[in-house]
Amino acid sequence: MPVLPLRDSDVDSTRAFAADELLYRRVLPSEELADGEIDPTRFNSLSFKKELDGAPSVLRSQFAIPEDALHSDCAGDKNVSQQKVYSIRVDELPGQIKAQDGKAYSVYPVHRPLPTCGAHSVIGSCMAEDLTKTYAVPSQTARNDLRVKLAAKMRPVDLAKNPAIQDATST
Amino acid sequence: MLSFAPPDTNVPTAADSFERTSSRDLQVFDSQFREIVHSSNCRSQFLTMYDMFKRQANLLTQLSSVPDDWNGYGSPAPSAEAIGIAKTILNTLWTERLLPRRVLPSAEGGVALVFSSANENRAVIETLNSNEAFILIYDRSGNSRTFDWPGSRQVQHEYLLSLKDHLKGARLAVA
Repeated sequence: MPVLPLRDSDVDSTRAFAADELLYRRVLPSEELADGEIDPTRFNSLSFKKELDGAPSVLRSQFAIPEDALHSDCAGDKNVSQQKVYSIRVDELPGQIKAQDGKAYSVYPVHRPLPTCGAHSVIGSCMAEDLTKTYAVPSQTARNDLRVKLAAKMRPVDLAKNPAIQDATST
Repeated sequence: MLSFAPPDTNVPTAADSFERTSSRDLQVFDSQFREIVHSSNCRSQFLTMYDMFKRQANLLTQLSSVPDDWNGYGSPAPSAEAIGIAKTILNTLWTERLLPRRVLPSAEGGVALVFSSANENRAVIETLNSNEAFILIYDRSGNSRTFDWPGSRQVQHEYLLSLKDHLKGARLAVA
């Protein structure tokens, strides 16, 4: 029986991200370059221009299995079952990105549960020196730097070999 | 007694001389033959690249049918303007004989012309729905540089020469 992703009421969004926690994201198979490589334009930074909730979406592994990324509940009710899942460790996120004008931004995961997708999170950013971590829109060059660094670290998840799925489906 | 009789110069013949390499006619023929083969190869490469260019131009046209939220992450469909700018850039790339490997919708909203290479260097030319366009050169270690797509044809040429060098493996100068 398929396991539904956790709902927003099932998760504790105050729980801190662990350094070794994984962040999952979908990628269309047709978008892959060779050997699981993806290019930086697979990451939307549309949200960067608006608000935090539009920042690149991911699912945090503390409340999700990789397969959740392919569930319609975590994809705006769309059928994305044919897509692939990539992951990045929290401590592989670039702590800081730098725009070509010299401005530096901090990058960090933010848990933003959605009603049908409790693990939903975004990769947020703020000015590096801002201790209040107020969301700041990075410049285009900083966004590109972030997307390149994400693409360099994201790795495909082998769903068939993922023990988390086997554990979850066996219970 | 010699068994060879000089051929009538007006009659084609397979036999020419016992000293073929010294035959002036054969040397001329060989030279002409090499020219034909060489030009044939060049034409073949040209046509192969031209076919690729036409395919990519068609792909760009097809991007106009990509719907909003095509990736399930809320990315907007490429706008007609972004596609139009990408077509202009693709035409420029064709004149420089530098074609992308992939033509894709960008998750940011727009079009991505994706370049790869046998080494670790990569590049993307992105035209966004905001009508911005830029060249992003990067490597797989996470280093990158962004250049706005220039309006001047001369500067475009210089940037694309740099892009070619980058794809050949030139070290990325990071600011």
